[in-house]
Amino acid sequence: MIKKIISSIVLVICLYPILFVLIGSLMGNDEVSQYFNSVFDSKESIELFVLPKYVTLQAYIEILLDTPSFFAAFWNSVKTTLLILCGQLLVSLPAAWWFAQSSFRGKKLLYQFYIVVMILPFVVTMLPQYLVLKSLGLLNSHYSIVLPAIFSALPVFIICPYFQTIPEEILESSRVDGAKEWQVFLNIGIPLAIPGIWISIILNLIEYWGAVEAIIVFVEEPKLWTLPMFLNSIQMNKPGVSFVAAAISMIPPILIMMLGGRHLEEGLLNQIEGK
Amino acid sequence: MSSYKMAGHVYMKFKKNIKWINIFILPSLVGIILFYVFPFLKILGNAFIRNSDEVFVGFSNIRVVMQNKAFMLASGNTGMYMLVSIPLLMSVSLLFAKLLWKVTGWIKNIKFLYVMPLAIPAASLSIYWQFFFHQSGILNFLIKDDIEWLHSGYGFWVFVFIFIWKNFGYTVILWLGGISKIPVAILEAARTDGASEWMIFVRIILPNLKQTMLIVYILSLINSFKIFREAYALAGDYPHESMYLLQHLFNNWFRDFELDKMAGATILYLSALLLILFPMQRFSNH
Repeated sequence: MIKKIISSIVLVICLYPILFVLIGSLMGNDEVSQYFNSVFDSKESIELFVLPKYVTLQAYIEILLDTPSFFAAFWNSVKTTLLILCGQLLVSLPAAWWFAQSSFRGKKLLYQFYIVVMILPFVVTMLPQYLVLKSLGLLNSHYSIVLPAIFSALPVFIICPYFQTIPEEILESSRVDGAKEWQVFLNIGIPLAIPGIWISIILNLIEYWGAVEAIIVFVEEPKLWTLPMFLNSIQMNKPGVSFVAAAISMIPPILIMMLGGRHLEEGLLNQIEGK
Repeated sequence: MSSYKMAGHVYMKFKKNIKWINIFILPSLVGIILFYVFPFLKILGNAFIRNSDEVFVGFSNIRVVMQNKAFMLASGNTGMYMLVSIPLLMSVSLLFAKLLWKVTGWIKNIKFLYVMPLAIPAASLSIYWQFFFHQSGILNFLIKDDIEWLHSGYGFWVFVFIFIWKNFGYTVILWLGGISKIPVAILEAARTDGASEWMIFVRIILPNLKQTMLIVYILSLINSFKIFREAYALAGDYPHESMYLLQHLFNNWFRDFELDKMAGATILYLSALLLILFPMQRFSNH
């Protein structure tokens, strides 16, 4: 019983900030401004807000009708994130299959190299990637954030163990029946790796939907900005609009969690263990 | 044997050794070489020349970087932040995983809700953290105090807190995944031998979590660098100096086009990371 109470309290702590923004987005501009003033302009103590006094979609209508830059940013985010996710799967699924199934001698060493690449933070890869993107003429375009992300090593790391755990007999029997490697990969490998593919899609969607590092450095044109950059640029001038933009930005990650969050619960398979 | 025949023999052997499966790795490998290997080799060259006139300067770039005050501040902050927040995250979440391990009922079905904080973009929540940590905001209201959280040395702890809040749920889930893979028979055997729950946790569960620990550590390491997003959303390009991170420094150098310093620092950080990672690779092989 005590365990349940503690778990519930922790859950509230985890979710309250998110609910706060969602609730704030349903308040009218007046109510939000009033609340803002009580926090930022006076030293009076504040009330914890739980529910709006009047639920209104006024701020939503305002942002949807009067803020074209929001639409542009939203579309840029959708476009870049989708391109990254599709590209990652096209590149990483075969690579993960290779790491799991080939008998290449230097495979293990190469896998460790991929792990290092995966851990490199943006601080370290920033200048190298800048030089490449510059010489390819891709700076100041969406390619500069999409292309390096497509070759991220994280999806390989997540999906590979799912291919490794497929029993050898299943694969051999279909190879003996004359199936080509790509047929084995498509018909047997991929269906068995679905949980891993889900995890990869969820973690990477979350990652790139919220990313700002690359875009700050590689993209100068505000027209190409994604939602997080838009949010960072409008903070606090118009509280109503900020809340709604923040709330709408949460919706795709929340949706993907609702759809596939259960796959995360298995944890990750032992990725690092060599075969 | 004619040389013609021999060439044919070699060709046959060659053909046998080319495995079609190797095509699978090709796209990924090309990308990794293009975006990582090749540019890093170029940086390795750049780190030892002056970029304006390409004169070889030896270690002078690296020396200049190491004497740079902003660099020392940013490295110190980033290092300190990782040293505090990663072990804290790993232990707090492990304790909670132990607690959640055998909880049944509705909580079991909504475990993925604990992961929600990780899913929300930092920029969406900065509006909440402003309210929460403001001098007359929610936190000070709750603890009846008047602390300036964001624009003082407390800023460091604010970001440690946000990091843990954000990554807590997923780390718990990873620990739980690891615990669930321990064979139940071992646990049952210990229980019938009369071992207490804590004994089982310390003596059986913990030692069996080594692999999970490695994964949790790697993911925490990767995510620890992403605190820049929160710092940027809350404080922009120039946060309080207790939260001036490497990414801030690099962005500022980049704006001033300090390529020499960046190349030197990139090499320094790459070596530091490899030093951290090398023992880990060995650990994983055992």
